Amino acid sequence: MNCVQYSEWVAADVDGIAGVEADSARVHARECVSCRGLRDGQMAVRAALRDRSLEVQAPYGLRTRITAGVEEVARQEAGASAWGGFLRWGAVAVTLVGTMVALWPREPADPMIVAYDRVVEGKIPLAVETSDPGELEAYYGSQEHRGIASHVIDLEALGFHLLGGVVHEIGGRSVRLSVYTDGRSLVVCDLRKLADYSGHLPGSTEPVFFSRGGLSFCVRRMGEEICVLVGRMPLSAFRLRLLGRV
Amino acid sequence: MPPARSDQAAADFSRVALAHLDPVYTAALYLAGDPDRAADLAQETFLRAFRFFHRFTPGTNCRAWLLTILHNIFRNRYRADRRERGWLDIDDPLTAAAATRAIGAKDDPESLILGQTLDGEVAEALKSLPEEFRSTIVLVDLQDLTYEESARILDCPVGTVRSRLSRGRHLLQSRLYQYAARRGVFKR
Repeated sequence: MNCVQYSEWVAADVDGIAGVEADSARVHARECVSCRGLRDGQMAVRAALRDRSLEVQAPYGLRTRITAGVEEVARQEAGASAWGGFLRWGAVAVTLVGTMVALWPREPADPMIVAYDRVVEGKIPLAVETSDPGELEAYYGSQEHRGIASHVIDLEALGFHLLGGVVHEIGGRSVRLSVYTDGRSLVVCDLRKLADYSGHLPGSTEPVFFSRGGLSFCVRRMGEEICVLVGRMPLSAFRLRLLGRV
Repeated sequence: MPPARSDQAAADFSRVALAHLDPVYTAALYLAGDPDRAADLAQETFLRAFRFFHRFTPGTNCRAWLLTILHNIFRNRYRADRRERGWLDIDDPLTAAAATRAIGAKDDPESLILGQTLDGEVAEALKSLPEEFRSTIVLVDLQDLTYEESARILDCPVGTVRSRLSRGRHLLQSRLYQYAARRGVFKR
């Protein structure tokens, strides 16, 4: 071994690594004053690194942040699993997307799409700002004469927290729009009575996903009502957030 | 998609993995360079680890597993943002060879460096190294991992770990010599 080769092997010498070439490096260092100096210097550096207390204590609060995040992930997974019970056949239902798109509001400038978009962007103010579904249901209940459903969907298990809601007139019809957030984006829930829904009705509780006008939609039949979830995110991301898979 | 876990799983994860928070944060700090990014990197590491905790084999080295995740995230997300090639002072007149000669002339290099450098100086010198040397030194010398474990984490051959250690320690020696010289231990 020569000096150039030794310079690549000095760490193995210093760390006491076994092997033919490491042994050869040790032999060279014994015979070469220059490389012996190199080795001694690196031994000093190694000792400086290992003997000092260079480990840094994680900042206060990081453990709490991580623990909260872990619990949130656990909740999301549990929620996705629970939804999975309803939505297990979501992937199969994708085949309905073409039909849905054909029968969904026809023009890109459809007032419903525009309204969803405006709510998602926070441009339609909420009539009630609350994280309490009961409070929002009371508000919707007070608007019953406008022919809207009062039940508020709980999306907490999916990591979406309720922000509030508003009853908005769209195309001559009163539409109730509940708004949720996961801290990064908004999702709007339009829960309609079946009689008020003019699009293609899913035959069962299978969800139908599609995108329209830059928005992603998830439509699902819930008894005598139909739930439309709308978000401004890629369809795959939207599906992942609601189903836990793409 | 991994199976959904219960609160008990979160508690198990916290007990097994979060015990390594300080070493993981330390590695993140030396990789990312500043405390905020290090905290984000460490947090992302643990969250990803939790998502894939079902793949972790109990009884194996959990810290090495976490560090593998940490480096993967860093490689994929953070490294591209870094502009640190300039950190390598190729033309620095105070080369490690000069340090070696100066230290060698004292005939007591180890006591000289250990006696004259401060903890903060060693940490700063380490942070100043190019990332590939810094990450290797952090794994081998700070985390006390083997060459083989470090190679798996860094996704490189064992020989590369050995080579980076040799060159990284060499550079570090040069940096420490600069600190010592600045404080009058040596004449430049």
